[in-house]
Amino acid sequence: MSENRKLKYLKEVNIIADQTEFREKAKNMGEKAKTLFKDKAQMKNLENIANSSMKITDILNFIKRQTGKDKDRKNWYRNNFGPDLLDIMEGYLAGASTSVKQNLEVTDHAEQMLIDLLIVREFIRQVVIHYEYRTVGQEQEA
Amino acid sequence: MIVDNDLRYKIDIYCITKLYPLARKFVNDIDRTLSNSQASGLKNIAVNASKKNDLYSFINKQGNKDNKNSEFYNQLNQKVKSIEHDIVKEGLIPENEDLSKKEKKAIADFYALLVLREFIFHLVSHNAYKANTGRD
Repeated sequence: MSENRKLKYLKEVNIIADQTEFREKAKNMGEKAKTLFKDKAQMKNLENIANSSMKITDILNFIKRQTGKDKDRKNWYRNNFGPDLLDIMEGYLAGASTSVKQNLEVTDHAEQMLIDLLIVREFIRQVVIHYEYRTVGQEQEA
Repeated sequence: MIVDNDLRYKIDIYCITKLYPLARKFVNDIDRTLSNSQASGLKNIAVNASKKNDLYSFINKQGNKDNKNSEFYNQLNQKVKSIEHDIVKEGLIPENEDLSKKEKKAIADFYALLVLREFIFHLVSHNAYKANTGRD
């Protein structure tokens, strides 16, 4: 895939990521995460998984495993954080990705996979940024 | 064995579009989920198996036991066999007429294990999620 095509996809993903609905959803999840994860490691881990995964299902599986492990509803399953994140990824973000692919007439499967990943990575990036921003605020208040 | 990039993409696409929903449906349709330790055991076998038959042996062994999980493993046995047939149909096994029958089988087994491993990862993740949340 040429660099030009990649840039074209990134540009389109950035347009989607700048939409109010996208930013609001990411902000809400970041806000929720702030109340659940006292330790930054979990959110950084999520971001690392998103950035290093080559398939969107690796990210979905990570969230499922973390939510499945949280028997006491202390973090991933508390306040429905994990299920809500999965719903957003499989619903809203999948829809956003479909519209990017249609707009740019992307038919190549590998490029379609890349667009799915770029959108999810950007969403998780925004969630983690908001989480960190709010956590710093919390530390300063304390 | 080095996996050709184009084929790697094809396998990844197959994992996302077919195996992920298939694993999810498998767990949702079955009456019971596996315990954490059972699921970890299955995942470890999938990760560490060097041959496809190691995975099949484990699944068969669990299915032959007289306990609450045997039905799960018996159905899993059927499912992995059907996936193995499907990957041949989907062209996920590289073909090379110059190779001997034994070499062709080794290649087919290698790719089958690669794909079945992915299926087990999806299955174990969804099993953990469903067991804790009750969600599909």
